[in-house]
Amino acid sequence: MDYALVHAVQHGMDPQQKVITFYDINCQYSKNLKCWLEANNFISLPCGLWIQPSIGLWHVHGHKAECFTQYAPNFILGAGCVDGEIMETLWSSLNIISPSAWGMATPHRQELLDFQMNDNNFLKMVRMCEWYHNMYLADFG
Amino acid sequence: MSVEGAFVELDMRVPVELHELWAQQEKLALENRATDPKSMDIFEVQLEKGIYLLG
Repeated sequence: MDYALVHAVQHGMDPQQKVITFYDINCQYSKNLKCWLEANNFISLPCGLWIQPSIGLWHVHGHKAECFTQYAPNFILGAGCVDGEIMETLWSSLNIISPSAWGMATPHRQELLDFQMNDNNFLKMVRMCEWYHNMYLADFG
Repeated sequence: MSVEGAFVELDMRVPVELHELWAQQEKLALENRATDPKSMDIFEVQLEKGIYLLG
């Protein structure tokens, strides 16, 4: 998790840029994150970067009541109207290939899923302009 | 009525002193949330339940 986070915030980012992370248990994860990463010899966050921790709307309602005001995206300026539940929704397109994976051994399955997820990420990247264009039209068009 | 219009109408009915207090509390909470997430607790609904029944 730490490794994924550090690499994500270092990818084409300006340290002055504001960052919001959505994670199901961010109220616990963000508590000692800074100290935890400072003690790590192999990975570190960019200097001066500040991360606003948030919890997706579906998960935050399963937390304590105070987590709602402290971590729901509704209370974060600039977050917009988002649910913050992103990852799992992206996997639904993999359902189409799951029947082909049933008869495969583990390494074969892994290769198949890696390939599909790579393709998924590639298409996300090349179709980003089109997607933003449609979002813009839906909002202001 | 638009959402903005409805909010302005509601906002107009709040006494000025209370309005200022809330604005100040909101500013303070948003400024301090980075170091102290508990500062956001002022946005919780604050109701005293069953106060009349207790007497």
